Amino acid sequence: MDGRMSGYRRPDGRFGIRNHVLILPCSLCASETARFAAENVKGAVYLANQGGCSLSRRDLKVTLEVLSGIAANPNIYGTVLVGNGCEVVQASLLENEIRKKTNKPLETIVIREEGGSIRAVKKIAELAEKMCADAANVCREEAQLSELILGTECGGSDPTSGLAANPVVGVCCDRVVEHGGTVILSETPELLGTEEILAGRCRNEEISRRLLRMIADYEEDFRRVGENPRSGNPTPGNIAGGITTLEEKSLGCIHKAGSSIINEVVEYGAPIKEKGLVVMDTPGQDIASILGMAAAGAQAVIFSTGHGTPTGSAILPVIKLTANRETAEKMADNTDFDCSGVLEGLCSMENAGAELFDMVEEVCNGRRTKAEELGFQDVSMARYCNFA
Amino acid sequence: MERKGILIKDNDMAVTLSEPAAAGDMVVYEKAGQKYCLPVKESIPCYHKAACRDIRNGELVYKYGQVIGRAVEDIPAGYLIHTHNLKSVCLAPMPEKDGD
Repeated sequence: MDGRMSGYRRPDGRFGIRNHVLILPCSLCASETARFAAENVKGAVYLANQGGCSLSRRDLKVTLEVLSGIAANPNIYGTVLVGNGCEVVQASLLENEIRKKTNKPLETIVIREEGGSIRAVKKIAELAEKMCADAANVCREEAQLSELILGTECGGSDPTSGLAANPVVGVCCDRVVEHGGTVILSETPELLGTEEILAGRCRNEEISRRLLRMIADYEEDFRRVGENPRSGNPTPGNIAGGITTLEEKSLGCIHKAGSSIINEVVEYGAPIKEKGLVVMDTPGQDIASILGMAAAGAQAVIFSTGHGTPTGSAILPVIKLTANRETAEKMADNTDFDCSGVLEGLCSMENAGAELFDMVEEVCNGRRTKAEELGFQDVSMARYCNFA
Repeated sequence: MERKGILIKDNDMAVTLSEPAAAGDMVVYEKAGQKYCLPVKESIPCYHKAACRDIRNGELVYKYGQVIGRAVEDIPAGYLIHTHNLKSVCLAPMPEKDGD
């Protein structure tokens, strides 16, 4: 395949590796109606929305950024927006935000204006059916891997994660950057203790300052509610597992993004402008972190795990790997790549990373991940305040 | 007995064991494509670290090619590196708020 991917060129110029029609509720009140419609349209995906109303200004800004980013994600052919009518995230408001980011097909249905859920479902389904038919007519094209934005994530970690799985992901990410692509390092709480190392890897002082500010702001949020995200890390479980210091724990995590210089630091869900390695401010909660990266335009995510996890996304393929042999066997339904051979001395880190890169290329050329086979559509969005 | 170890970067001073080892075992690991053998001096659990060279009290200790802490006593090659002889050097944790 040699650094190429096949997929779909969107009218806004971006390149997707999947071709989904998205049914997107503006708020939790519109979510069940949207779900009901999505279940009746073959080929449509759905993004459950647990927010969208009674939001602080800060959460409203995040919600609009993320939902508009998801609609603009290049894996999405087009979107049917579903509003209830009275929510804070008004359909017209979100429509405007989406239009700022993309000119792809977009339709809007407001449940109250249609006269209830049953009528709304009928309309949503008709619009989505037509969009799916149009999407099926888009010809697959080839593109360079330089158009790939690859998210990285780790969760359900155990000692094999930092020791083998994350370094293997790092080798793969360095290959993506060598091909001119983009890699996202996420999960701000897992950067604690490595901020000086990361700041030293930034392209210039401005980016270093933004990175240090991002971590300080994250800690400040916790302080405001009387918590300290540093205390108690590494955990007694980590220490029993062989981790000695906070920096050792976090180094095991940041290794998954490889060794490139950091070209940009972006807010949660915000669009990415630079190539190469980019840091995004996301929570450590895997599913919320993945949603933020999808909103930024990532077409795929690599997810390393120790104990195994079922996580999947409606928007992008999530490629899951482990270096724990037992997990690879027990969680075979959920695991795409087994690199336990690295710990058993059967395979070098470099070779495992090269094989993982081949798998990323295959997924970028249509190979379905385990979570895609299962049809999993996990959703969680970062939030800062309680509901108003 | 021969036990497997992982050295992540060539300048690392800690090799992580992927099997438990007892005093007298030999940890075999790879460095720059070459095989190395490290005689283990005390019992080391799976996924814990052994010093792969003599480390002096006060020296910065490297794993992942980065500093993971500072030795607070001499750690001769083959001995366990853990919380008793290695301390964090990263920014001190933020002070707890008054009244906590």
